[in-house]
Amino acid sequence: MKRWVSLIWMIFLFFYFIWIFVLPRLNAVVGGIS
Amino acid sequence: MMSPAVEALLLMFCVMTGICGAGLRLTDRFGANMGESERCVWVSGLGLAAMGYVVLIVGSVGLLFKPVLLGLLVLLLAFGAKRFMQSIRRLSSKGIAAFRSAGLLEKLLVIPVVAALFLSWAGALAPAVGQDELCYHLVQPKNFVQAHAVYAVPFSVNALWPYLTHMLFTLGLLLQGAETAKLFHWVFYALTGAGVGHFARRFAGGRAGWIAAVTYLLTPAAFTQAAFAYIDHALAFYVFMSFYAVCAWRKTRGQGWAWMAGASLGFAASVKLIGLFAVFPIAVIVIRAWFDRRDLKAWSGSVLRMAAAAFAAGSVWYLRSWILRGNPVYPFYPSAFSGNGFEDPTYTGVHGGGAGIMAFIMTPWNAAFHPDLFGGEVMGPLLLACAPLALLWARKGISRSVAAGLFAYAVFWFMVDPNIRFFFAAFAWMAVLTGVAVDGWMRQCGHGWKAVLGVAFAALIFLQSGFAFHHFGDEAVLLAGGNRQQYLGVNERSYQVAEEVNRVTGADAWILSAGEVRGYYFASKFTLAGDMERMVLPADRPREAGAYARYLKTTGFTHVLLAERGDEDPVITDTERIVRDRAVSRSYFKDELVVRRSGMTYTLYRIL
Repeated sequence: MKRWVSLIWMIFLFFYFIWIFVLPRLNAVVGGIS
Repeated sequence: MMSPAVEALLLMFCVMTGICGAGLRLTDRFGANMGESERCVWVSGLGLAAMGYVVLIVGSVGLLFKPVLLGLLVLLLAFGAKRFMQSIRRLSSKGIAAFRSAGLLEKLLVIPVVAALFLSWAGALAPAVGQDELCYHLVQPKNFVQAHAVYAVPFSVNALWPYLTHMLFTLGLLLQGAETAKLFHWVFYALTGAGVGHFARRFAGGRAGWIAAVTYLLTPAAFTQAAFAYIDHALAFYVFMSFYAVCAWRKTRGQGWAWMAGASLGFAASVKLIGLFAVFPIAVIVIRAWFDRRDLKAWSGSVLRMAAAAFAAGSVWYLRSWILRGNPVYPFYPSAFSGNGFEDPTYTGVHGGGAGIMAFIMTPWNAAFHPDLFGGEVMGPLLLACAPLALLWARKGISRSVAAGLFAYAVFWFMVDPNIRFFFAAFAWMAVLTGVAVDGWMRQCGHGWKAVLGVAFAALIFLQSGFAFHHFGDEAVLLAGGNRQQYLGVNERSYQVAEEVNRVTGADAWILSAGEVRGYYFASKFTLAGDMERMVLPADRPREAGAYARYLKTTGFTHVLLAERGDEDPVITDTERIVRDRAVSRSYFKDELVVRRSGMTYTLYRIL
């Protein structure tokens, strides 16, 4: 159980960070990424 | 002619060779309970602090001349170089053996670490373009170098702050230039990563150590900040090392650790006022240590040693400020001490996601995803993703102490000034928790899960290291042979303005600046009107143009520089209000130069 909780937490933060932080900035630079 | 980057590198190599070699030689008799690489980190850190104090002493007696410091460096090299080279040979053969026996994940992590270290190092070797370094971290050292003395710079709010790292910046500027000064901060970044790794290795094993070190080094805010002549890594280093030593003391009760804990605490307080917060994590461990054995005599003896070492290593800055400004932490807490003309309270409330317990609990989340609330530097998702996992995977012992230290530091940081730069020491604790969590997980699972965890951890690490390429691409190109003047012209708004102004004023002028705080590239003395006006009692400072011009002239100022964005600029200082009223002020302030740059209009006035 704790393995799955740990893994899902790590994967969630990885993608959430990309979605909320990296993509908007990348979009501002190159444009067209949705 | 040698490029500034190469000069800085050679000089830093000599400085660190001398410091580390001399430190190793001096501690060869006492260092039996430390590994060689661990001892290298300790003696380098303590040695850099000692060197800072040498510069302070030399500067305080007005002997800040290049031959004096070069002579001392040669003596240091003569004493330590051979021992350093011996250590390098030993450590490189050990390092190669450790790499060969390491697992795939540990080997893979070498790539982003080397990339981040190299790119931030390229940033450190580029010309200075950071706000605070151009505003005061390098400006005060430049004043010291020009005056050949460390002194209370007139009308400067910050000249009497704890300046241990600035003494090293002074050494860098005196011997070479801004590149060497910046490199000192980068060295503290690398040392903090190494310190974090050694701490985790000592208490949780080799793999935990390597993962903890990698985690700290690849935190975006950490490696981007390392490229500037700021003091945040030095602060993190001494705060964390004081905790390191006190944990080792608790385990071994060796008095050497008690002395080192106190000395590191004193050095932390010598780097920045908030270094005093290191008292709280130390106190937590010291109190826990009492309950381990309840031996009052031995315990109080160690605590006294820590206090004595901390006082010896850190009190001079506070005593100096108390004597010269009437306030040991001038200009802060004027209600508790003397404001000496300064009435503003502190910077409290400038940063952070709000006050209250919920805001405190949400701080790690907000720091990871809303960095603008904390000064703008990016913490990244890794620490938040992995440090809390210590709750599930770490063995109790050291992770409890680390969590307690982290909490004690974080509470005071949050209450006083939650800027993420001042949180680097907490990154160090969180990196240790990450190391023990990932290591604990790997110990407790089979090959399949190990591979899954390895991929997830590596993905987070590589994601964060991408920031290094984003931030330091230009600097890497510059290191490979770009044009430094052109780089400055593009990246630093004050550089060309300063060049123009320098042509008019020369080095003997004294400029009072309103609207531009970046003074490093101005050849002459450069004082901020905001500082000057707040440091002079209102009754002593005239408000009418003629009297104000006479006051400035008799004080020694020769020019006023106004930086304006447009007609709608708010009038913040009396200087702006008086000089901008040209119908009256033209008889007392003659405009000599106008420069337009970055949407700003800079006007230089000569005081008639």
